[in-house]
Amino acid sequence: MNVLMDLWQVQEMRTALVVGSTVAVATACIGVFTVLRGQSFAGHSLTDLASVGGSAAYLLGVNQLWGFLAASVLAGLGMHAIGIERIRGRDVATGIVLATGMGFTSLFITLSMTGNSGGSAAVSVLFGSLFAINPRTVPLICVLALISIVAMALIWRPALFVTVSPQLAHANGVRNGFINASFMCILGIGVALGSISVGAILSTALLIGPASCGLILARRMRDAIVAAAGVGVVSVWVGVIVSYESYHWTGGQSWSVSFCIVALILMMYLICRVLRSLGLVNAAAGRKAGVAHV
Amino acid sequence: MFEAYLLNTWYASTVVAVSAGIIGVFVIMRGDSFLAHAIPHGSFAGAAVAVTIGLSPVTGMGIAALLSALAMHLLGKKGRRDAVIALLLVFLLAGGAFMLSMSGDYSNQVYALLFGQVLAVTDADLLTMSILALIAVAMVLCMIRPLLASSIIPEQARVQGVRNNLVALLFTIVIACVTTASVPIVGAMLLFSLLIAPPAAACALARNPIHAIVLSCVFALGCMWASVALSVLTDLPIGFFVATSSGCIYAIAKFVAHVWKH
Repeated sequence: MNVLMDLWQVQEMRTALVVGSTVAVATACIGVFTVLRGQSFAGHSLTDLASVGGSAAYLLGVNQLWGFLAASVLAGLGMHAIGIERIRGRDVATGIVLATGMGFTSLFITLSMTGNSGGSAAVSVLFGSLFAINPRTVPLICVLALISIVAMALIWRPALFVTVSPQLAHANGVRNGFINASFMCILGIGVALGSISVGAILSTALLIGPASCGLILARRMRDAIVAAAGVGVVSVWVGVIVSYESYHWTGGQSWSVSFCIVALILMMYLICRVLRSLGLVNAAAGRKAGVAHV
Repeated sequence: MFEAYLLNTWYASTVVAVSAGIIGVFVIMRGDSFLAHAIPHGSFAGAAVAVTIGLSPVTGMGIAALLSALAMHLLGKKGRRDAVIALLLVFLLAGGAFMLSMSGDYSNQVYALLFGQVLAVTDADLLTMSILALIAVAMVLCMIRPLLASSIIPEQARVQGVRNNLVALLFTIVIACVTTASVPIVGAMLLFSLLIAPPAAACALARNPIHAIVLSCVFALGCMWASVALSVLTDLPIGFFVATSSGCIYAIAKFVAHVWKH
């Protein structure tokens, strides 16, 4: 306990833990829906496109969060407009749009480099670090997380209805298009939050990993979200502390915090899978809702 | 632009373009674009490990690409590409960046492996690349009939005695070879665009597979050469030009195909 109290005294540590926990809770709520809706692919593509915004913001000297946010919300709405939110067997158009996006990312990163090394910008945008977050952005991050959670709660019932049975929902007067578009907006915010915490190309892990664990562990949606938030927060805390303490273990070279978090999330997910295959947990909320994407 | 130190670059980019052009057509026909997206991610981690323990990046990349190709093949068997693959990919990327951060010259290495570097090709790398590309193309040519059959109508191919599963396995190995040959030039993030966009453009325009392969090679070569030239002239990253030019070719080809139809 004393160790924790000591860590809490460090400014970067406090920021990292507060931001990490907030983002983990928000992405858990959004992630459970994303996985249930079979839109893990959309989440993954949005992170690639978010990096365009992040690197452009880096180039212009604006707060990266705005870049991530603008790019991923716009890209989410764009995907909704063209109708490529779900993976379609042979659709290469999506892939080409993504690749072009990454091309622009590399251009912005090169343009923002000073001298001959473009690397540090690439690392900062793509692989991020919770320790490098400016304390002044913390309120903004919390507000965004709150907005996404409230919005998710507002469209909760219709979104669940549309996810499980689009036709039935439509027949019952739910405006499917509106719900889907709002969800893509919320997903965009979630991706931006994930990108600022663990880096643009790693934020998929925060979005999908804890949510998949939650859906394996819990029987009902509400429990799944709570479990997902728990898994997310624990991964972030342990990851942050391990990364911070590794400075002493390795003699001055600390392990990257994003790597620690991603590795922990993968480990948690594998443990959940093992538990399920051993028959220790027997129901997935997704299966009960009639959707099996987990 | 054609100075001696750039000769390796021109030669390597030609090798990359031709092999990616040929293999890409089958990637499109088989609907394997996910593999083409995933295997380069694995190779990034492999290269990072190799750099850390002091091997040549190409060796590490080759081993990692092969391993991840086999893993994808086994995991994909169930017909579901679920959360576990997405998480594994992200873990490989993070692990790669982590390994590089341990080895010191961190950020530039990451940048070069992700987005490619025109000038990074040494003579030894060039030789390995050419051999790998040659193996990949030779494998495709040797099994072109069963490959075509199982790509287009898998059920009928099976009736005629083609072992679809074996073909799929061999083809993932082919993709691994091409990945290893191309990543040092184009970069892990953008190899995908070269493997998908020019072949997809060719498939939109061509009438039969042979046409498609020839056309795809022409498109890929055009993209690659133009990108190398622009990259050398402007000092901007080659990956940017590869991605945008191949995206443009795809858009134009789709448009032309659309006009022809009406």
